[in-house]
Amino acid sequence: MNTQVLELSKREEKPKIETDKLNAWFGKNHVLKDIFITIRRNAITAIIGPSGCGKSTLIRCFNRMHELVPGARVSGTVLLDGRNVYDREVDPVLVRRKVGMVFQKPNPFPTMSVYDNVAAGLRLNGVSHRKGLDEVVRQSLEQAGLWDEVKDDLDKSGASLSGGQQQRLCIARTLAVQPEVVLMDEPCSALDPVATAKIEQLMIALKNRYTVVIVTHNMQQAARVSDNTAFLYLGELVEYSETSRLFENPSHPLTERYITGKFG
Amino acid sequence: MAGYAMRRLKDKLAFGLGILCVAVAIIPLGSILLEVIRNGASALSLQFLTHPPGAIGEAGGGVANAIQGTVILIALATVIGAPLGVISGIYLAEFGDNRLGAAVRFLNEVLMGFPSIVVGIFVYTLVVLGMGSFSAIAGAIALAIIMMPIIARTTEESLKLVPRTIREAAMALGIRRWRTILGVVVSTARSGIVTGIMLSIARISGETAPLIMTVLGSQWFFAGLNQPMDALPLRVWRLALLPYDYAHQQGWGAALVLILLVLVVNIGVRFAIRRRIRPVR
Amino acid sequence: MSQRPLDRGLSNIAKIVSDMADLAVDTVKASVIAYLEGGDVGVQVRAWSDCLRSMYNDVEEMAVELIARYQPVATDLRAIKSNMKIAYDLSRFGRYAYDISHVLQLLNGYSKEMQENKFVKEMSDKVMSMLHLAIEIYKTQNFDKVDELSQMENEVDEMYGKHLKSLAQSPSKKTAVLISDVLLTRHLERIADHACYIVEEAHYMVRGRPMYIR
Repeated sequence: MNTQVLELSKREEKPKIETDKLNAWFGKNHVLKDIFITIRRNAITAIIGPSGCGKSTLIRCFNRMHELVPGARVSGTVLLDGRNVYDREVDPVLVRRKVGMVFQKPNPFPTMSVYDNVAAGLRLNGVSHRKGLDEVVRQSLEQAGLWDEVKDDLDKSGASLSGGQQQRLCIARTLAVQPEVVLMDEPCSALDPVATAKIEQLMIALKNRYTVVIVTHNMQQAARVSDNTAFLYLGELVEYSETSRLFENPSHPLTERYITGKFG
Repeated sequence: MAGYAMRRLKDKLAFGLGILCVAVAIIPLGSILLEVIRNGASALSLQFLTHPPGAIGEAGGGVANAIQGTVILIALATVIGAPLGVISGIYLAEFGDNRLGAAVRFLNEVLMGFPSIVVGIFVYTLVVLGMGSFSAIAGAIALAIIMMPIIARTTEESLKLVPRTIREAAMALGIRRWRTILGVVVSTARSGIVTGIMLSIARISGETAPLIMTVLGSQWFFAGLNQPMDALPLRVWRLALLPYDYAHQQGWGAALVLILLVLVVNIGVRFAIRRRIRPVR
Repeated sequence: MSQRPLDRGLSNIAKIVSDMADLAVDTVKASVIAYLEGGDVGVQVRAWSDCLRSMYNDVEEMAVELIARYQPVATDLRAIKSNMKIAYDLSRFGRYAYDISHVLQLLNGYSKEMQENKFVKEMSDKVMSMLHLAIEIYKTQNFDKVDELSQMENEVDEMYGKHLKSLAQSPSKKTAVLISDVLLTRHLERIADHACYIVEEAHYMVRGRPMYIR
């Protein structure tokens, strides 16, 4: 199965992320096979595919989280603004500050307050100037659409918020570190429809400042929010194109079968 | 319906049997407590609690120095043993998923099971003979050796309870590994770690055998880290062996004070745990 | 692969459109024959035309319901969209057939002269075969004969143009005949157009790309 490359048609801009012959393993399990994908900057790219096809693994290769699992291995290159994040001189920790991640189940730090949660990324990276911190926390919570709901009690425990609020808190926490890319691994799957709608609105607002990549098993969500969609199957990139085109007239029969619900 | 009635009967029997077992288990505890209170309450007085023992054979005096000694020993032992135990626990939880970790864990288990008198003899040989005298510090070291594996174990368990997602979230923020461990994981597990420390304190408060070989006991208040010192368990033992009635009564009193001390520590632990359980949505 | 809830709706729509196709062909045929050979089919054609209209409404309702309930994509979505448009085109045939029979009714007395009109016979034959061909292509989803259809469409356009010119140059003495001639050929030309639309939609449904016959 040949991968299809998105024609960066009219725009001549450089992609934010570009992979080449990206492969990933869990021990002997070959999970990603020769992935070649370009992620457009300031856009939302959705990665869809049946369970176990490697979607989460793919984005975890973008922020070098995949290698944290014992026995995991990566080969190939992942260029972030032209620089390979897997270069020997590159510090993975610095990569993760530029490429943030929001997880499926909201995971605020349970023993910390709302304020401390948002500030955690900065404090634990050495920034502790109180005045500056206040401002960053406020901005991050505003960008995450949570400020109005928590501004009166920033000291309350992060775990006392509702599911949707917790997820937005995690997003604020990620934004506080001022990344350039925000990866989201099925961010809404643990949330109710109202909370989901809020987060989707948030994503669309975020793409002005960040590059967003979202993994989702909900095709309608991919259709709703993303500019480009990539379909992964058994570790291979089967099809990748503009969302409206992929959902109206997919090129590959597998894509057609998957998105119309005939399997997976 | 016969089947159902039969099952209900069995159910009631099993329940009754359970209650019986609990009663049997509690009886010794209850009877000891009652015995101690009955015999020791009369010995309690202000003088008892604030004066060192008088001359042997004379009534009067108290166990103030023993109380002081016990408190000092617990404090010192904790200062020595807790950091070592916590750090070992952190190592085992975060980096111990390999053969070396398994070996360390095994040694930890072995150490936990050591008879405390053996620990006492070991410290006697090393510290007491080395220093040339029985001393408070020797006692603290012995107690620390007993505490350490317990704290290591409870710390490891508490850290393991911190979900992987929390660690992942911290790593994804670009926080370095060691800061993740100290700033996030340990912080999240802190109440469990503290509970472990307090439980081990409750355990060592009553240790007597190692103290015999290290602290020796004394009639006076604390005289220096390198000097012998008194402690409640020792005092109880000494008083019990004297052939005087007043001594026996004082012994019961000291035992009561010791039990009350352990009780206070345990209640403190319960209180600390209860604080933690707040409704989380 | 198991039946999806959507599949039932899709096949219902397809069945109705297929039935509409047959009915539309019959309706047009009836009105053209009545024109050429005489006969009063006004009521009948009217009834069939209304039936086609109502079938189109059913298709439209079903389509909207499927979209709201199942958020279909790709082939499914195109099938729904195309079938809706094809159903509309087919209902138009009913309307044109009705108009043709109406012309006949309004200007009754001159049927003899109209029947002798060779041109109308020729054009209506051609348009009928275009209609048959278009429905065939739709049903078989086989686009090999599209060129043939395109050819016929060009011929019909040419015929129509020539006819109008010749009418302008040497119009018939009786105005009623003139009017009915123009109206009739006009309706036939429109039927030919819609037959092409149907095939274009069918192509989009299957291939996902638009196609233009004319």
